[in-house]
Amino acid sequence: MKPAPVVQAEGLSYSYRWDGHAHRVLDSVDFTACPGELTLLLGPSGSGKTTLLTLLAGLIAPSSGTVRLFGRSLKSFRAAELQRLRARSMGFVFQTFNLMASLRAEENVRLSLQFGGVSPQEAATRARALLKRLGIEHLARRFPAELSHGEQQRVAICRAIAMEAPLILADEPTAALESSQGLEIIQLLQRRARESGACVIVASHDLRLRGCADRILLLEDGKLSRPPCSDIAAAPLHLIDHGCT
Amino acid sequence: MMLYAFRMLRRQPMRLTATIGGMTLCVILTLFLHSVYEGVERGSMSYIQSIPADIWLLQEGTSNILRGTSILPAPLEDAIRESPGVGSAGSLLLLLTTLETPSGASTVYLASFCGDPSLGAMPALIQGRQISGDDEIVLDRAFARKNGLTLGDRVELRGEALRVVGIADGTNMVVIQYAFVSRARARSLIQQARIVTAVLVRTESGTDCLRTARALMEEFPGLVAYTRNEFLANNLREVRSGILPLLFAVALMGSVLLTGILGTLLTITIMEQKREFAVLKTIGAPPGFIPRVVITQGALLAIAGFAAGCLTFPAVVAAIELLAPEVTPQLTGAGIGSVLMLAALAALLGTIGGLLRLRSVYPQEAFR
Repeated sequence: MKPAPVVQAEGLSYSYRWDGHAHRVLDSVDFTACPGELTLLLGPSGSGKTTLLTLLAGLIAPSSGTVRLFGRSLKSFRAAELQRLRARSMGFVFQTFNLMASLRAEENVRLSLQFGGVSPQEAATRARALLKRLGIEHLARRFPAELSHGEQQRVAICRAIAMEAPLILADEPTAALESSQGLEIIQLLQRRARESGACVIVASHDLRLRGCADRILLLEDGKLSRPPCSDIAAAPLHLIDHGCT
Repeated sequence: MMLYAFRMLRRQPMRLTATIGGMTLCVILTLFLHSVYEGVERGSMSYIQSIPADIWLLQEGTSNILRGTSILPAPLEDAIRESPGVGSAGSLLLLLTTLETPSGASTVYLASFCGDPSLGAMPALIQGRQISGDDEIVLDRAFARKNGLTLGDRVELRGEALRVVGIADGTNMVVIQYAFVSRARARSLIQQARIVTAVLVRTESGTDCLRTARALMEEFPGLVAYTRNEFLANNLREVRSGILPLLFAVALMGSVLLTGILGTLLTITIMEQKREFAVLKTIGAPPGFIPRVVITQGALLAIAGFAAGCLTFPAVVAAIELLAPEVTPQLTGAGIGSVLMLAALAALLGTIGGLLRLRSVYPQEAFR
């Protein structure tokens, strides 16, 4: 039996007013994302990928349409419920890592666990164990400024998965990394989806990530399309780039 | 969270130093104003308080000797001494005059006491002895230090040389200091032998001071009689009405500065950490977490500034006393407490300013 989708977006549109004109960022976006899958949201800069992620996280409200997370419309969540949902059921990975500069690597992971309601002692134990599992326990005492970009992103992934969140939203997680580091990061996220059954949504303009995706959505000028190829991982770049037309 | 708040501040060591430095200066300023106020009050009152008279008699219409003129006929002292209920009496002649010292002319409040020694209207000495002749003078410690005078030095009063035989304490009113000479020397200044400023009375034991004071006023028209407490209260009121408004205005400016510095620096810190706060909101920081970080930062800055201010204050006082000996700051527990309250209030107002800035932190900024 197919598992229930974690994310359901229906007729999702978002526009804002600027200089007296309405600017449409997303236009009637429909899609679902399921547990255990890595969904790659591909599109050029300015196509609306980040806006879509912030809508899915409930950080902004859509102009029209609905987002359902775990079967429940985001509109029905109160502010405190949304905060708890983000702390316990969502993990975030950002392009520029966004680690707390004044906290050590381990403390960054710990903070996320504490936001999720884990006691400080247990959070410390779990954070250390997680860093060890990802092979970066030797970085635990370092501040973000003392880490390479790749190491920072690994710590950021630790933070994102610390609460065993069933939904992980990653915004251009490889953009600030060298290609080999980028591949390692995306493989980490892919493993997360496979091993823990998390629903991972990665927004990126990097076509080389397609090999790791279970599903690919193409976003251009706020509109979504699916490449009609059956084996997207093997599809030539130019086909994906042009919607397999 | 405390550690996080502290480390966030520590990330900008220059700004942290500048903030704590600014807070420290403001705390020193407000401590200084408080202590100067205490010093003025204590200095102005201590000589009057040291005189154990039960009743002070002055010219009608005069309530104090700090900012009032009283001229009484000297023979009144003898007549008062004979009144019912009066145990002993003495008189005080006070004159504003100028002493010529080696460093130049300086104004003093010249006092001369005559009468029953039990009234104790001579000052407490820290060096030397009380005057015993007409060519001697006792100077206030701050006056002596300001003018570089020591025991045995000479000063001139209207061309007459006087030898410094004693240095007194508790006779510094900051704006002016007492100096003590014989009655004959004081009278020679005004060419008038038959006047005094105040008559001091010690009542017989078991006598009601208030009743005796009222009886003396009835017996001697043109006089006003105050019990010791009334007289001290009158003088204290004069000190406070003269200096408090000025000090209050400066203290208020110091407090506004303190609040402004803290508020501005907290706001700058928040604006710089905007993205970090946005990330915290995005990853699910509980609603009170970020405000608590800001409040903790405000409290840490206020505590650090207050502690640094208190610790450096003695050195500042020592430097001030060296430069201006007549300024004798007196710091009391109440003064420290009120400055602490002020720092807490400044921290609170500054933090509120910072917290208002948090409203402009949007979580979606984490994605930029």
